[in-house]
Amino acid sequence: MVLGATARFKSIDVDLKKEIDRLSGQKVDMCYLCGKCTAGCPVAPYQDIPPHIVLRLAQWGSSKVLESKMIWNCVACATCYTRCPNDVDVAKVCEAITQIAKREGIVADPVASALREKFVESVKNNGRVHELPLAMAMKVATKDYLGDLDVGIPMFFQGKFPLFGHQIKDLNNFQKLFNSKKAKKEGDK
Amino acid sequence: MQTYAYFPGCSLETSAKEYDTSTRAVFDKLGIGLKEVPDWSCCGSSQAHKVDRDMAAAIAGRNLVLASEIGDIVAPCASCFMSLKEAAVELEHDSEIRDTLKENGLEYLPGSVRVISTVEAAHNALEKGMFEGKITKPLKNLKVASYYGCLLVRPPKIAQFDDVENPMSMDRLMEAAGATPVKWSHKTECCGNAYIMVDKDMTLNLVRNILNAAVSAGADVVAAACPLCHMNLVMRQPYMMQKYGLKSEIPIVYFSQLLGTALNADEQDLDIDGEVMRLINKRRQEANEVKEVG
Ligand code: SF4
Ligand code: SF4
Repeated sequence: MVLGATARFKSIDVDLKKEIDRLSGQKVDMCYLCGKCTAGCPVAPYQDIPPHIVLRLAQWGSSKVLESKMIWNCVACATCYTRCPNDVDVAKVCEAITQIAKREGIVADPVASALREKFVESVKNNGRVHELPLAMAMKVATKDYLGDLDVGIPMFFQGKFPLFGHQIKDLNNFQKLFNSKKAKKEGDK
Repeated sequence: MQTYAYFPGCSLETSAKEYDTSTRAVFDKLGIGLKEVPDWSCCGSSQAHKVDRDMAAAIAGRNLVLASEIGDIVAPCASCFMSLKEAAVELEHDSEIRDTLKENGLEYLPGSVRVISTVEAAHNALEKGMFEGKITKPLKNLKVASYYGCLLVRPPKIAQFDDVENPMSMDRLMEAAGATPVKWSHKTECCGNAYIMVDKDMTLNLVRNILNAAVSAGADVVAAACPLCHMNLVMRQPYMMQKYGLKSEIPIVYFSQLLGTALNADEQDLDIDGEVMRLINKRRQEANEVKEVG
């Protein structure tokens, strides 16, 4: 475990705190550790560290924060941001840290990571999300092949989960939005 | 006639068909036009921004451009509402994302389209008196827990709608429909959204808390305004009773299904579960009996 701002990472040439600030558009130093975010966070009780500790580790530029499960399981409910006295958008901080962690090859919650990737893949392929293939892909990711069949099969027969979803007409131009200059600049850095 | 650009969102095409048809039926009854955004694409929901915020704003922004030909955009799904509105804010001050859209033939003019939820649109109609004389089948005696979830009201800087800790707009709509809104604690607690696919145990704990709060408050039904919330709240109630300490099962309906019932909209469009309909009628009957005795 490295505490302090001295750690260097292969994908970034500034210290970790600056990179978190840059990607999240937040200033983690604004946080004064009051714990209000943690008090209202619905997922905090089920994580390794609570949101205000994510902020603390980010302030220290500690690489330990990249290993946290909390950053992946923030559900972006915005309760913390709504109540934070210093206007820190913790969800954006968590999301920025996951992006850095991913670049560093550290994925503390592969299933949460799979969800966002499969989701974006599904959108990119069709322009819309197809729930059934997404749910199936997630079943493979979680190795939970039978868990939801009680719900999925009735829905399937009610025609709620069609096998072939709708594809948008202007798919070609739509897909170009994923390769925009700006998206690339940040994604590939 | 007032007409909105209507953004159904992916779930309303599949798992939440009844939310789509009941929404259209309600607005039809109110005399408000809904014109579907042509060739709309996914809003990015709660996941795309986690991968890349600029990409998320661009794909949501595409819909704003397409909608601007029709008018202000209205979304039934809370997650779509927030993604679209967040994109509108981002496009307002980020010319690079606007350029990305422009390169692909989509010119966004800042301020050209306002994003609102169907709850907000219905509530605006209520304030304008557009429900008057139209509630012909009131939901007498039905106790409704209005569940707003996260993204209809949060973050308030972007949502710009209702009170963030104790919203009342849906409660007022339910009251207008003749129902009795209950006061309860979990109106805006998170249901865990798509994390049901990541951490089932965590999500079921969150859902159990919400449902138990509604049951304890004496609600007959929970009214939802988001297909993801709806799915999480509906699924696995018997299992949660066995394993997660859920006190009792409780029906989950879309607020539009309840409003539509009171507005006497077409039953097929509303597609309300038979058991819920029996409960609604039972409560109506009780209300009438009380009247007769009194
Ligand atoms: S609520 Fe804001 S200031 Fe308080 S600990 Fe959380 S991020 Fe820091
Ligand atoms: S946005 Fe994330 S960190 Fe903030 S309260 Fe919600 S789950 Fe917790």
